[in-house]
Amino acid sequence: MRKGILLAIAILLTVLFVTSNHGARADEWEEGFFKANQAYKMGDFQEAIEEYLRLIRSGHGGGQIFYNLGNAYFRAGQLGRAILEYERAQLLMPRDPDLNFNLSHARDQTLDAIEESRGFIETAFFWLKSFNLNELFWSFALLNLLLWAILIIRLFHKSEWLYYILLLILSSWFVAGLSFGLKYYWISSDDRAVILQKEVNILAGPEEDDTVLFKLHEGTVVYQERSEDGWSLVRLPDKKRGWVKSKAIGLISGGCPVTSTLSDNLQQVET
Amino acid sequence: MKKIILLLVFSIFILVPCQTRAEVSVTLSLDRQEATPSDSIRMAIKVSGSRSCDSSPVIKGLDSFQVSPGGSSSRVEIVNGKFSSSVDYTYYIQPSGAGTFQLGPAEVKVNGKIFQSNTATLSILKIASPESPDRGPIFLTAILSSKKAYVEEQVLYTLKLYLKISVSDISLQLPELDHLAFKQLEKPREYQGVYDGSTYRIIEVPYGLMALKAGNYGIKPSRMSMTAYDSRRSRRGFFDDPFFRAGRPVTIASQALELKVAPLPGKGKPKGFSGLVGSFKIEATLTPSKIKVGESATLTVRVSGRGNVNRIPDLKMPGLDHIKVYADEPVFEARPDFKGLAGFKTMKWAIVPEQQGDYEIPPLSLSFFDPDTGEYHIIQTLKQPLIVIPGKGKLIMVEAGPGKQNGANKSTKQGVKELGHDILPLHTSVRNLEARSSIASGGLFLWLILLLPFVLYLSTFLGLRLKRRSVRAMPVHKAKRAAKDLIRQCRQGREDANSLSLCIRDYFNDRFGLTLASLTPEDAADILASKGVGSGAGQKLRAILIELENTVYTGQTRGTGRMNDEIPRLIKEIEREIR
Repeated sequence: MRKGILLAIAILLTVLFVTSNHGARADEWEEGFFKANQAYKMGDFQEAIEEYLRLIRSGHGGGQIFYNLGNAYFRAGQLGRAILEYERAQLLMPRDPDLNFNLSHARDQTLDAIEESRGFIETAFFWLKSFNLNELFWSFALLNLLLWAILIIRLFHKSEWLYYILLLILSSWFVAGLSFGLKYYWISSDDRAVILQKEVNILAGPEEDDTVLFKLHEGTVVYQERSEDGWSLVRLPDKKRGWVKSKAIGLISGGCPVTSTLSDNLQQVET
Repeated sequence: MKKIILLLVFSIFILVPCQTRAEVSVTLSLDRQEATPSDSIRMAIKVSGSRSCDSSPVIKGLDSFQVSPGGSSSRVEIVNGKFSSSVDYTYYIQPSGAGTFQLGPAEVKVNGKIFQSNTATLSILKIASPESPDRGPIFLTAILSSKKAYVEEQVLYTLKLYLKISVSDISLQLPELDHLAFKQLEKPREYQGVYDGSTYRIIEVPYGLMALKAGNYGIKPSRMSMTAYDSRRSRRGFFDDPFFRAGRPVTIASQALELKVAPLPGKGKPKGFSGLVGSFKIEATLTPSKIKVGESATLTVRVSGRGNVNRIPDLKMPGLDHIKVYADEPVFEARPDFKGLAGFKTMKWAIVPEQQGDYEIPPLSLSFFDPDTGEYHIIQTLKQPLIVIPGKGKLIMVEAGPGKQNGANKSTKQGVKELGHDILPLHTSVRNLEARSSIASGGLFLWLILLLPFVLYLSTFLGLRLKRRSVRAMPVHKAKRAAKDLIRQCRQGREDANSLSLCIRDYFNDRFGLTLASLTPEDAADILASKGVGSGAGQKLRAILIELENTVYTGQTRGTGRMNDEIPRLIKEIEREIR
C-alpha cells in the first residue's frame, strides 16, 4: 500500500515537472513570436526573418509562422523567398484568406508568365487543395471509428436503418481514405520549387559553360526532377526543361508531408 | 510433255531479254521554256534503263522555286523481244520571281552509281499588270477600298480569285505586317463574272484592314495555293469529278499594294476622345416617361455605326438629384458585312426617382472621328423628360444635406476600383502557434488510432464466435464425460444397486441428451438399438439392469461387486459401437 502511494506521488511529480517545463518553453516560443512580430512592425524585416527562422528551426512549423515569414521576406524585397514561404504556409492552412490573398498578390509580381497546369488528380479531387493533411487524416480517423463502431453494433443488433447508416459511413470512409492517401502521395511527391534569385539562366547541362536555354525570374514555380552535384534539373508546366544551380531554387515541401521536414529544408536553403 | 517444252521455250523467250541490262540514262525535261511567276511548270526526270532508283533525284538550280512533288511511276516494256524499263519522277515548280534560270542537272543514284541528267533553261517573264488582257485560267487580285487611311480607320481589302478551270484544296496566306491587322468580314462568296470579255468563276473574300500606327505600308502579295485540274483533259460526265483526275499544285499571288496611313489630326480633338474612327450615331429612349415615386423607368441608349466599333465606350450617367440610377450590363454586338465592320452597343439604366416632380435626364454625348470628312464629331442624345407623380405607398424623402448633394451618384452601383495593391498584415494570434503536423509527431500513435477500432471489432467478433462454439460443443463434451463418470463411479466400488441404476440412468441422460427420470431395462435396450448399438450389448445391459432391479426390489443391498467390473467393460463396448 505504501509502495503504491509512493509510486503515485512520483508519477504526479513527473507530470507536474514535464508540464511546467513545457509551459516555460511555450512562454519562450510566444516571446520569440511576439519579438519577431514587433521587429516586423518596426520595419526591421531582417530581424523579423531571423526570429521566425529561429522559431521554425526550434520545431514551430505552424502555418502562421510561415505566413509571417513570407510577409517579412516580401517586405524585405525577396519575392522568391516570400512566395516559397507562402506556398509552405498554404500546405498547412490552405483556406486562410489572408494567405491566399498575399500569395496571389506575390504571384502577380513575378515576371514569368507561366500557366499553372492541373493534373487529373487535382481536377477530379478538387477539394484536396482546400484541406491540409491533418484535417484529412482526422476526418478519416473519425469515419474509421464510426465504421467499426457500427460494425460492432451490428454483431449484436441487426436492423435495416443500421444497414443504411453503414452504407453511408462506408462510402464516406472510402472517400475520406482515398482523399487522405492521395493528399499524402501528392505532398510526398511534391517536387515544386521556387526560383529564389532575381534572374537565373536555365542551362542545357549541369555545367557553367553549357548553353543557356532560357531565363527564369524570381518567384517562378518550377518542378525539380532530380539534383546532382549542386545542380537541379527543373521542368516548367509547358515541358521546357533545363539545369539550374540548386541554391537558386527552394523546394516547397521537399517531398515530405511534415512540417519538421519543411524546417529541415528551410535550414538547408538558408545555409 | 509437248506442253512443258513449249512453256520452257516461252519462259526463255521472256526472261532472256530481262537479263540484258540497258545503259542507264537520266533526262530532265520541262513542259515549257517560258512562263510567268503565277504559272506552275511541270518538270519530269526520266531514268531510263532501270526499274528503280536508290533514292529520289537531287535537282540543282531550284533555289528560286517552290517545288511540289507530283509522284513517280515506273514502266517496263517488251517490244519485239526488246526489253526496256524506266522510272519517271514528276515535279511542279513555281518561280518566286522573274528571270532566266538554269535547272539541273538532276542526280540519280542507281545501284550505287550516280548518274547526271542534262540541264534545261527556263525564262520567267515579269508578272502581267492587272490591266493585262491575258491573265490565264487562274489569277488572284487584291483590291484596297482606299489607298489612304487614318489610324484605326477600316479599309476594305478584297481578294478575288478568278477561275476558268476546276480547282480544289484552296488555302490562303495573307501578308504579315506589324501594326496592320486583317479581319475576315464574311465567308467567301462565289459568283460568275466577266473579266476582259471572258467569263470567270469568281471567289471573293473580304477583309477589313486596320492600321494601328501611322506610316506607309507596303502590303506584300497574298498567296493562294490550290490543286488545279486542266480543262483540256477533262471529260464530261461522271469522270469529270476532280476525284478521278490528277491535278497539279498551283500557287498564285495577288499584286502588291500600298497604303498610306495618316495619324488622327490633333486639331479639334475633343476632350476625352475615345478613339472611335468611322461613322456613328446615338439614340436614347426613356420608357415610361411618367411614373410614380418609387417606380422605375428604363433609359436605353444605343450607339451604332461602322468603323472600329469595338472601341465604343461605356457611357457614364451624370449625377441626378433625387434620382437613384442603376446601370445594367452593356450589350455589344459586332456585325461584319461586305462593307466593313459594323455594330452597336446598348446601355441601359434603371431610373428610380425618390421625389415627385418634373425631371429631365440630361443628354449623353460621344465623340468620334469621321475619316470621310476628316473631322471630329460630337453626337449626343436628346434630353429625356420624366414626370414623377406621388406614389400610392410611402414617399421616399431624401434630405438635401451638404453631404447629400451628389446623392444620385452615390446610389449608382459601380464596380469597386482598386486604388492600390499590398499584402495583408501579420498573423499575431498565438493559437495553433505550435501546430505541428501530428502526422509527423506520432507515426505509431496514428496507426494505433486507425487500427484500434478494427482490433476492438475483431476481439468482439472472435469472443462471440468462441462463445457460440462452446454452447454448441457442450452436449458433445457431456456425452464424452458421461462414460468416464460412470466407469469412474464403478471403479470406486459402489455396491449399492440403486446407486448403480441411477449412475446408468445419468449416463444415458448425459450420453444421449435425454431427461429420463427412470430407466427401465427395455427402454435402455431400445435406446441403444436406436443409436446403432448391436443387440448383444443392448441385451447385456438389459440383463444387468434387470438384475439390479431385482436386487433393489428384493431388499438386497450388497452383491453387486461383480457388476462393478462388468459395467465398465459393457460401457466401453457400447461406446465403441456408437462410434
